[in-house]
This record gives sequence, structure tokens and C-alpha cells, in this order.
Amino acid sequence: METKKNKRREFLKNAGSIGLFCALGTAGLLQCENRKERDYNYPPLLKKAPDGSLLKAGLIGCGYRGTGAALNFLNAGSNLQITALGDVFKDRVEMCNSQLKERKDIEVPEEKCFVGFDAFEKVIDSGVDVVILATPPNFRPEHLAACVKAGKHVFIEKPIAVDPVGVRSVMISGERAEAMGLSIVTGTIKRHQKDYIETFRQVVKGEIGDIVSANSYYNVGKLWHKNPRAEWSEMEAMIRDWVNWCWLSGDHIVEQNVHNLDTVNWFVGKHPVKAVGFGSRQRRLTGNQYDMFGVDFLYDNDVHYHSMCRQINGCQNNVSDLIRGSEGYTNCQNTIYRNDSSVKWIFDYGNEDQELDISPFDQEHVDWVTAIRTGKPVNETQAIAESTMTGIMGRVSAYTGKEVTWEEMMNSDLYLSPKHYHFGQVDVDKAVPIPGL
Amino acid sequence: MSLKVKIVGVILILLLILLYRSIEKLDAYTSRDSYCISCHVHTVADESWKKSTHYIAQTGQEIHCVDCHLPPKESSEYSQSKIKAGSKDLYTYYFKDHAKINWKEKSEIKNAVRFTPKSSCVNCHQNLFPFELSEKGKKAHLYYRRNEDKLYCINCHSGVGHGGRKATYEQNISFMKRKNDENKEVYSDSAILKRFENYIETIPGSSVSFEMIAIPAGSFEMKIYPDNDMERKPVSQKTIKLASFFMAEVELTWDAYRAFLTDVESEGRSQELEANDVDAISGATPPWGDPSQGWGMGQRPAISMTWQAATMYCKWLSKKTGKIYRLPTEAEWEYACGASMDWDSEESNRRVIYRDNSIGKTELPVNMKANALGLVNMLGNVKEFCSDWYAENPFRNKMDSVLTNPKGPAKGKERVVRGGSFRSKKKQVRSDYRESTQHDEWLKTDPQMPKSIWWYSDCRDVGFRLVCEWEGE
Repeated sequence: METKKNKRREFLKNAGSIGLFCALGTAGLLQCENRKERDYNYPPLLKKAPDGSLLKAGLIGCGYRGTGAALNFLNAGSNLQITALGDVFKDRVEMCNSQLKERKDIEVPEEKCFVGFDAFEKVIDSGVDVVILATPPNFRPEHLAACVKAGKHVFIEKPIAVDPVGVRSVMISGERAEAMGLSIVTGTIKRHQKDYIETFRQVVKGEIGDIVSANSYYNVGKLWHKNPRAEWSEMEAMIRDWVNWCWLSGDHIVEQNVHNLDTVNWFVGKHPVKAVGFGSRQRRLTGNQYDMFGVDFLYDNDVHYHSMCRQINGCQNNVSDLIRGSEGYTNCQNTIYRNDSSVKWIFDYGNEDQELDISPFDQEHVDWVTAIRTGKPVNETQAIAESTMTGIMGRVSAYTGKEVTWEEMMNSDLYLSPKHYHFGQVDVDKAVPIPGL
Repeated sequence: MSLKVKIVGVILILLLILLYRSIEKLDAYTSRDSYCISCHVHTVADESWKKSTHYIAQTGQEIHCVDCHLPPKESSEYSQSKIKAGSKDLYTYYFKDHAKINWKEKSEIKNAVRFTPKSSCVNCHQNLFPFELSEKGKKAHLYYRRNEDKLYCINCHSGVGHGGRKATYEQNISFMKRKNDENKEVYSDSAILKRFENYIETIPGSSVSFEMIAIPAGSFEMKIYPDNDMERKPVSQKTIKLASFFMAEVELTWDAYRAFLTDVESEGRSQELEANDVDAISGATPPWGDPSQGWGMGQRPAISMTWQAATMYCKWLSKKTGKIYRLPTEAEWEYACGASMDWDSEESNRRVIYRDNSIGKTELPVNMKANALGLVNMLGNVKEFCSDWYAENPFRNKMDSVLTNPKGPAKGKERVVRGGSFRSKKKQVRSDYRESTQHDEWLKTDPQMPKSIWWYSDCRDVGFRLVCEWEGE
């Protein structure tokens, strides 16, 4: 108990409250706590992270997004370096390294390039200060736990898991990171976009009244697929085709739609307690995922949130959110509407293109590095864990056709990955789920 | 500014400093363990504290009374709480009869939380997820994190401050494994019912026996009072006619309940991680923690089982004995209890185990005076489940003034419990005092999902009494 150094200040405070206590002569009057207002940790949204000593980052997962995240990190400020790369595939590490060379004139030496399922441990142990996790989502819980154990700040891409076991692991890692003062920022970019943040501020101020319902849409075209090749083991074929396998990606309701789920949870201020959903698969060529989902989420105050997402080419696309309140509604991004559809407030971008000055992909790294360098830790783990779990709850409901509750998910032992990772046959459920069984 | 004013100012500042210093000294003096113990009269608590992990912690750190029993010194509530607690202690020291203080009751969670602030626990235990925490611990603390407004640390970690009893924070599998005493006779047959008279039931395959009392058919007036306020006009009053039935002389004992647990355990999922089949749960799962509370078992009433578990027990016993055992209906219970007399405290002590004469736990049903029908502990000791759904007015839709064998509302959320317990106040141990189960509250700290359907994690004063149907000659 470190009370000595503050003893005098404390003493004064205590003495003061004794005095007050005597003056009032009653016990109950000292309670003046009234914290109804929503407290939210708004990011500082600097254009560049403040200068500081060299931060060496390791990148785990060197695919398209990982390489992108590494570049975003390097854009975030001065004295930032990528000093180690890790991936299960050699060609991925090489491709990433060549991109870094081409775009930023950085080349990670061969002894700091690690390949294989244990590459993450080697990256963490290679003398890095911070780690960027950008593998397929199923690997992240284990990787995050290892990073936190090693005391590293982490940028972790969304979603952070594919199953309840993984989500709980991430929640615990988040708690530990909190206790250790580590900064964990996730790839839910809207929380780092000034337009969304200012719109959120309006909603918190009560500009749309009490929230009564929400809708969101992540209806887009197909991402991509890779057919298996003779020279690939089943494991390699699956990982290279990871956006089509539930055990790797969590299905697109989790992997991609988590952006919307996170936005709505953020604005509503909590997670749903139940979900009833459906989904189907007509067009996918590989994997065992669905093409589309429609889920009715229910928050504890009977607020319904309908979330739809689809990945099929040639259909009506729409990526947006709509949250309705008693006194108006919002697109969450930049506008508050009155109930009669007239515009009540609109975010001022200050330019004709209606664009933010800084790419949100860079911004999240600016915010991360700022948190590390200013010693004001940011920890987004619980929020993204809840949003990921929201997606998993919707997915399980769609796969089974049954109502699924948050409590069930929080206590579910569902674990999708194989017990051990090795290049060979993969011992997971590969069937396309059939509801109603 | 004149010299006078300056001098007065300096003197005032000096006096203030002196006052602050004195308060500081006073605070330090009154925060010493020896000071607490000097006025506190609970030698038991002092002794048990010295045995606990919070006397000298594993880290070698010394922990003092005020570290747990007052909010952290940094908190704004510290001074206020200290003055409040101190005044209360002084009052008790000078004006209360120490022998009459029920320490056991004070140590019950719902009371203990009032003088063991959670803020003090977490002030030292800041990291709830140390790397060495077990999987079960992680799950339980995650559950706590998500239900912080409902839970206290001591909900699970009771006994860490006083006493050496190690609490169980996991499924208590060994609880199910205890076998009957080998030296006792194991019955092969159950009792045979020939006439409507008291009989001794024997559970086949066990050495458990108990007496069933014949309760002759009859009628009585059943009154439902608003909010259990017997001074007010009843919201409902009916003449209840009941057929004959048998009722157990005493509340179901641990011996009798454990005969069931050990019998069905093999069918259950006591090793739930091994069994992957998720079809019907046939047998009781192990409890979370120790439902017997370390009070002893044997002939002491079994407690903490859920209403479903009690109902399942009746089905099991019916199968074992070829009779129809079930929980009493609320009307049967009240009829068998008989009108409560206005007993003086001496007579109450002979008949009822309740708050004023219990030491915060259940008692063996020995030497207690039976009621007119021969039933022991209908009132007090443990609350008893009835089969009915609970409703504030169970006769709301009943037009007839006379009801025959009523079974209560068709639907509901909670079940009726009757008779009060060792924790009940005197006015709550009456034949007409109605209570209900508190499902969510009684499962508050169970971190399992689904929460146990067999054991309440947070109710230690509910049990049941068997009824056996009489189908006539």
C-alpha cells in the first residue's frame, strides 16, 4: 500500500471531509455521485503521433491487410520501424517485404523474417516493442495472449476471434493489458473517424432522443476465393482461402459485418442480449460459409436491431447504418435527421470531396502510437470483443435457426479451430451448416 | 493589516495545523488492529482472522482490520464510513448485550457486504486475471466483470478474512461421491402401505428411513393477506377441503437427499467435459461450492437444491418405492402446519428455529416439539418448497368459496415456499406467511451456463418436506 507519499494531501482531504461531515452532521449527505452521462474515451485524433523514441513493430500476418497495416503504422509518425515479419507462408513474407521496400524503403533482414505456425512467437521475441496482428481472425486470441504476456502493445485487426472460446480469451487478455498499462487498438476504423465520432457526440447529447431501433447493411460483392492446388495440403488450401472458411474467418457476418455491429453497439451503448437470424448459401464456390445473413438482434430494453449482410456479385450493394431515435435518426457517419427527414445537423468536412484529412486506416495507428508515446493507454479490447461476440451470436442463430442468447454465447465452449496446427489434413467441421436440425 | 490581525491569523493557522495533526494522529491511532480489538467484543472473529490468509498474506504483507472493513483511505467515503462504523461500534459496546449479538448472522454475505466494501478488496486485488489464474478462475472472474453491479467479491471469496475454511470455487464433484455408512443396514424393500396410519419409509438400496405422518382429510379457512400484512383485510379467503395424505415428520435430511445424489450420479454429467452428449440431463450435476455450508449433513435438513431438483427427487423416490411422492401443495402445507399460536418465546424456542434462537445455521430436528399432527419444524429451520406456482393472490380467478384440493395457479415465474427458516424474523414464521423462490437472486453467483438447474448457489435456507399420496383402502 503506497500511501505515504500522498499522505499529506490525503490527510488534508480527509480532514476536510471530517470537517464537512461535522458541519452537516449527517452521513447521507456526502453522496453526490450522479453519473448518468455516458463516458466515452474519445481518441485525440491527432494528424501525426507525437515524436518519441524509436518504436520497433513486428507484423504477424503478412497478407494484404497486414502489409497495409504495416504501411499505416509507418505513416503514423516519426521514428517508427517495422523490424520483424511473421506469416505461415514464405511467399507472403517476401511479398510484404518487397512492398515495404518499394513504398517505404524498408527491408526487414532475413533473420527477422519468420515463417510457420510458430512465427508469431519468434516475432514477439525478436526485440520488438509493439506488435501488429493481422492474421486470419481465428489465430488472434492466441497471438494476443502471447503479446500481452510479453508486455507488448498491440494493434489487433478486427474481428478478434471466430468463436466464444476465442472471444473470452481476448477479453481476459484485454483485462491483463489494462492492468499492465498496455495499449490495444483494434481495426474498427469508424471509432477513429472524426465524422463518426462527432455524429456519436450528437447522439450522446440526445439529438435523436432515446434510441428505438437500428438497421445496418453490409451488402457487397464477393471477396475472392482460391481453389485448392495439388501441391497444397488441405491446411494450406484452407488458410489461403480463409475468407471462405468459418473456422478461419468466423464467416463474413463476423469478419466483415463486425464493422456495422460495432458501430451500432457503440451508438446504442451496449451489446444485444439475443439474436434470431437466418442465412443461406447459393453462390460460394469454396469453403463452408454462407453468402448472406439477416439477423434480428435484441437489446435489453427491447430495442431491435436488424443487421443484414451479403457477399454476392451483381446485386444491390449498400454499406450503411441507420439508427432511429424518438426524436430523429442518424446514418452514424455524418448526419442527424429529424423525424420528418429534414437535416438537423451535418458534419463539416471542410472540403468539397467530403473527405477526412487523414485516412482512418492511418488514424487508428496515429491514435495507437499517440497512446503509447503519451503514456495514456488506450484499450479497445472489450468493445471489439463484444462486437465480435455479437456477430458470432448472429451467426450461430442463422446456422441453427434457433434463438441464441448472449449468456449462452458467453458460456459456450464452441471452439472451431483444430487442436493442433500442422500442414496436412485439417480436423474441423467442414460441412455447410443446415438450420433446423 | 494591523499587527493584531496578523497575530490572530498566525495563531489560527497554528491551531488549524495542530487540529489537522491531531486528527491525523487520531486517525492512525484508531486504525490500529489493537484499537479495533480493544472495543470489539468478538474474540471469535479475532482468532479466526489470525488463521486466515488476510492476517499475513502470501506476499508477506500485513493486513489490518481497516484494510478490509473500511473503504480505501484514498476514497472519499473513507472518513464518513470510519465515523459511522466507529459510532456504531461504540454504541454497541456501551449499550448492547454482547452475548445476544448474532455473529454468524452478521457474517452472512448480505450482512457482511455492509462492512466489507468491495472497493477495499479491489484496492489490493487490482488484477483479477493474473497469469497463474486457473481456467475456472478466469471464467468466474469474467462472469464477475460482466455482472459487477450485482456481485461482491465475498459472494465467492467468503471466509478469506476470517477462518481457515477454504471455499470451493468450482463444481464440487466429490460432494456427489460420498457413500452411505457401511455399518448400517441397507434396505432392500420400501414400506408397504396398507392402512391410513403413520409409517416408516425405507429407501431400497440405502440405509435411509424416515417417518411419514398420516394427515387425515379435513377443511380449513385459507386467507391470503396483502403483502403478508395480517392486520389488513385478506385479499382472498376460501374454505379449502383436502383429501387425506401423508407428510414427512421432518424436513428431508441430507442422508435422504444424498441417497438420491449417489444413486443418479452415474447417469449424470458429473464429468461433464468427458461426456459430449448433450441430450437430456438425467441425474443431478455436482453443486457449485459446498451446499452443506460445512454445517454437517446426516439428519440436518438438506438445503440449496432447486425446486426442480426437489421435484426430481420426488419422482425418483416414487420410482424407488412404488408410491406417489411429491411436494405438498400450498394448501396442504398450510393445513398440516396448523394455525400458528401466539407462543411466548420459551414455547417458540421449543418449536421453531428462527432468527432469534438460531446461530445462523440449520439445526438437527431433535428435541423439537412437534405440532398437533406430529410434524416437526413446519415453521422455521428451512423454508419448504410447495408444488404451486407463486401468485400474490392464487385464488384471484376462483369464484367458488369452497375449493377442493387446490393446486395453485396454472402458470407463474416463482414457486411457493413456506414456513420461514432459521433466518426468518418471528413474524415470518407463521402458517399463513407466504414467500416465493427468488430464482435469479438465488443463482446470482453461479458462473456456469446454463446456470445449475440442480443447486442454488446463493440460497442456504431452503429445503423441502415430502408428501405421499393416499389412494384409499
